[in-house]
Amino acid sequence: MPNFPWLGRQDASAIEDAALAAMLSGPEVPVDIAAGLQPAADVLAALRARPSGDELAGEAFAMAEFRNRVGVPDRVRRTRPRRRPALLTSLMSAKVAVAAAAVAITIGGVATAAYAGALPAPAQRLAHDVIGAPAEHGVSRSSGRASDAQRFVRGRPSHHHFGWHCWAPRKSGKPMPHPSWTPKPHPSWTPKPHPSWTPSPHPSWTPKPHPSWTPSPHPSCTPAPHPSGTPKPHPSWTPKPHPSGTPGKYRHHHRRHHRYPGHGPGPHPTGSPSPLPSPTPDPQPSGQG
Amino acid sequence: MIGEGFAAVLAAAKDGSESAFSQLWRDTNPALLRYLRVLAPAAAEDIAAETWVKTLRNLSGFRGDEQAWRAWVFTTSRRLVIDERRRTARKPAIRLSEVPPAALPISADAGDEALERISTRAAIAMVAELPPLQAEVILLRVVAGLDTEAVARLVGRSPGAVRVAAHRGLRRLAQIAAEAGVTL
Repeated sequence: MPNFPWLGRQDASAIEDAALAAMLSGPEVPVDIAAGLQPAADVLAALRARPSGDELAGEAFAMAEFRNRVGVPDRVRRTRPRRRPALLTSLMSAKVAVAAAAVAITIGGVATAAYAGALPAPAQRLAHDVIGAPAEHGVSRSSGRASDAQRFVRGRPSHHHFGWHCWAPRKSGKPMPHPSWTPKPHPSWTPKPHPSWTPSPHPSWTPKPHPSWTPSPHPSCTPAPHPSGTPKPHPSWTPKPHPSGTPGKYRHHHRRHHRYPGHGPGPHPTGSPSPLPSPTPDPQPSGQG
Repeated sequence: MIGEGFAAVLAAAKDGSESAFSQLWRDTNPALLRYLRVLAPAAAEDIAAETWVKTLRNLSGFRGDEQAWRAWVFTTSRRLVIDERRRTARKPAIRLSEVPPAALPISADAGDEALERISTRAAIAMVAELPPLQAEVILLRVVAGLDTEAVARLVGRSPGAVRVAAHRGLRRLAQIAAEAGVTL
């Protein structure tokens, strides 16, 4: 039988590889391990030895780190209830913020509408008293028209920031708006106050009435008070539109007096400075309601 | 290795059990230190501590068995070793002749050296004489207890290359130990 030495070396190499794999896999050293690999087996056994003291010296540091990061379940449990109030608080604050924004928008819109004179008559009156918005623009609402007319008949001409608002009576003495009159504001009128207008009185204004001013309405208005002094309407007056339909006089009259002297380009009718309108209650003629 | 109870220990550690984490640490840290003392002997303890910090930071998100756990910890440690080597490479080298005598390390006495020869440190020192890949593969297979596939993934080589490197390293290690003439 021929002897092939390389076959023997090949078998030895195969056995050695199996022994090496076994040495790497576990602590049990194969029985048929080659003698030359025994020192390596001893080294591996030393590498697998039980831990020494210095290898466990860092446990205190690791445990401290563990407590800081993971090993604090109590703190985790404590933070959960804290999150709910925080979330609730944030939600509540968000609701409050939304409500505040809604209120602000509403108030702003109402104020804008008030200055535009677009509110209903009672609300406009309230806005006029509270925030100094223009008084209810009596001519712009049919109901307001009627109430102004009634006031006029009572001897109390309606008064707003734009001056005396006269409802000129016709010859018959009945102050009626023209049927073709439309309830839109005067073209020169804008919702915002006149640039020269300030909430404070005019420097030249004094609390006492203008010398030329009399408790009676403007001469051209001729709103003569009732002889009896009581503010009841004239018996002959009825608040219906004029049948003749000649609005020129009324419209012209209205436009002329709609502009307050001192605000507009036109001079004061009397040619002398007159008190500026102010949000404060103006002096009303006594005995005129 | 913890064995079958590993899943319960890991779950308890995630829930905050200090004893469970201590068990994990005592099982893993010695192997980690032995691995690091070969790869980065000057900073082994520091890198091991940093490894645990990173591990704890992501402990709640870890999923896997004990093999995966060890692979994760050693992968984290290996990345820190690479960072440390980059940091060290940027530092200027100091010649030994420039070091003042007072700063030179004092050699241990013969008794300590004799004791150390039969210790694990001697074995680690012998493994450190191997080429880096062979030493790392042997340590990961023997100390970390990872199989060939896990080591291959960790070091970025094929399983065949890892197997060859391990066998060559063991043969070289046998020669080194035989030349040292000591029985561990």
